[in-house]
Amino acid sequence: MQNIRFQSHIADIRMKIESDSLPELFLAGLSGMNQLLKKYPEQNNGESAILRTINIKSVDTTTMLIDFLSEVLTLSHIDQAVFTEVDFNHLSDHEISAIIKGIKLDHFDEDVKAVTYHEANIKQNQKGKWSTIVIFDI
Amino acid sequence: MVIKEQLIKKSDFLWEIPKSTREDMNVPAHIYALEEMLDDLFGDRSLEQLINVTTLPGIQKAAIVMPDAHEGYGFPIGGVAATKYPDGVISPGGIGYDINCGVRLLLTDLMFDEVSYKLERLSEELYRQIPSGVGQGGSIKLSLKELDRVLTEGAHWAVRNGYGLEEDLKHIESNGVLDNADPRSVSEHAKKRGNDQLGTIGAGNHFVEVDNVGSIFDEKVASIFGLKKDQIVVLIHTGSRGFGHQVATDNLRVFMNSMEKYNLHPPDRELACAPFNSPEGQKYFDAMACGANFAWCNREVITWEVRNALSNVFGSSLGPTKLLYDVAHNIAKIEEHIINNKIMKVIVHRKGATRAFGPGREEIPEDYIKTGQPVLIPGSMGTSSYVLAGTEKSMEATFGSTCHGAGRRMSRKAAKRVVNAPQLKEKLRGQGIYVQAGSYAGIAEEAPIAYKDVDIVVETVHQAGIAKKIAKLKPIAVIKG
Repeated sequence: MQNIRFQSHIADIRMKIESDSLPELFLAGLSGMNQLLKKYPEQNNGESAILRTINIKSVDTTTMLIDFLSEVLTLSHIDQAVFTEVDFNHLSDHEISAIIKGIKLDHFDEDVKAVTYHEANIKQNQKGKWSTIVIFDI
Repeated sequence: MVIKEQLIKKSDFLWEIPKSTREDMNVPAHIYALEEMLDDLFGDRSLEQLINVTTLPGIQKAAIVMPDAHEGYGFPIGGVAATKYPDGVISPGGIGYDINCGVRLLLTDLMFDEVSYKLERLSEELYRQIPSGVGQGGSIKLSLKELDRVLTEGAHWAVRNGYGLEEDLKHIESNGVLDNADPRSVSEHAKKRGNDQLGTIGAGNHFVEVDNVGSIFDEKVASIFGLKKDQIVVLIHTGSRGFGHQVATDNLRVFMNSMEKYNLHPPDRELACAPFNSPEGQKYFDAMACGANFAWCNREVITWEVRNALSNVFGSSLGPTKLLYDVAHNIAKIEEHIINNKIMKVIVHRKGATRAFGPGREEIPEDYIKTGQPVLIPGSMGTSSYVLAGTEKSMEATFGSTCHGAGRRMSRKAAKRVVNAPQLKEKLRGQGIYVQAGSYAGIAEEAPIAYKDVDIVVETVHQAGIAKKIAKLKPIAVIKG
């Protein structure tokens, strides 16, 4: 289960994400970011898929989520693409290795300039659900 | 959390949060605001962020926030902090993601009555000449080698390549180039994000605006600045685009991973920092300078596009378009200031704050040495903008800094909910303001209702003496992404 909600922010975009597991939380973050970049991307026909590798080491899990989303956002800008699929080779508290797959776009709907660490804090509640806030600089 | 009762009123325009308010504060915090503006500041985390800034190692005198403050990342927007050179910290959170976001003002020799009947055409031509909007690239595509030259030379690259005038350079803060820029300190990612973005304004709150000089407050200084009533001027507000954002993102990540090594534990991740004289601090400072140079070059190329648009509309009746000044409002610089009666070298962080050096400072152009530097304050779409001058008081009180704009007071989402953009566009047109924008959503998000009253912000810094009102500009055409 993934839950993505966009909330009010004075200048930028605040997103709350929830999920049943940590990998799903990363996928929820990615899915939310992609909704901002392009609400209705065209279906990937397979031929134009872009594959990129991501390797990140961070000081903690929250930082790693933001670093992961930042890295994907950077690649989105460079390739003018949204990356909708992720194969995690490795995901621990401090390290992530993954292959991401995306499709080219004509244009983005929103100029998402950066993923910030502001208010980000991954928590797991008593029912085992994972959640955090992510704020995008637009 | 700080409460209003903890503020000490120093004057009608200045409030202090004493150092004793929180155990980890190294210096007090100073807030420039009228009493009625404080409620807005207590409505978000601006003041909590300002207190966090006071904890930075090496911070001097006070963390300061301007009347256009709102919550930012790490620092509040409108924040100023000076740390000890060379071993105090440098923090990307004190500079912002959009490195050297800034403003420049172009002076034409046209008067309002000469252009009023051509305003719609001018706005269309500006929109055609200046690429704007989400992810919009420009006509200049740079090889990575040529981009390195932009990063090293700043606005000088534009002049050398026919996109600017030599005389513009002396009227740009730092003459349009920071010498410590080192392209080797910048990631390939950042270079790839920036290589087609020169000459573009982007989206969000960035714009090009044609203004009519509405009021002159100081005839003598206005005359030295080349401003007269009813003159047509052009304001350009943008920064380092995706390039600067990537430099900030890259280095925040580096700092996050190196802070343990330097025993740095700031109260907010976005205040990630490094000692200025550490390898990480030096590398970021050199990369930040590349971002600043990119932004100055960007605004110079946009100036060339504006000149082309003006020429296409007004032809031979148009005289030379001069640059009044170009100021950065997201930057860190090494400067000398008097602290505790001694001249000290400090690393001044300005994040949503404008340098406002007073008369006599060697950093400002010779023709403004007696007046203080021009300070450019853009208003929100459809409201006034201002030309101010730096003062001696700003040198004493705020490390030569003042406000940078109106400052947001309403979220983009809320603005889109309450503003009918087509109606607003028509209403502005009825007031003689032509708006060209990439989307109605962009117009709604940047509606005047979403911003603080720029008149009050400017009046506050004027009354506080940290900048002096010279002229008020009335918008007549706005180009937005």
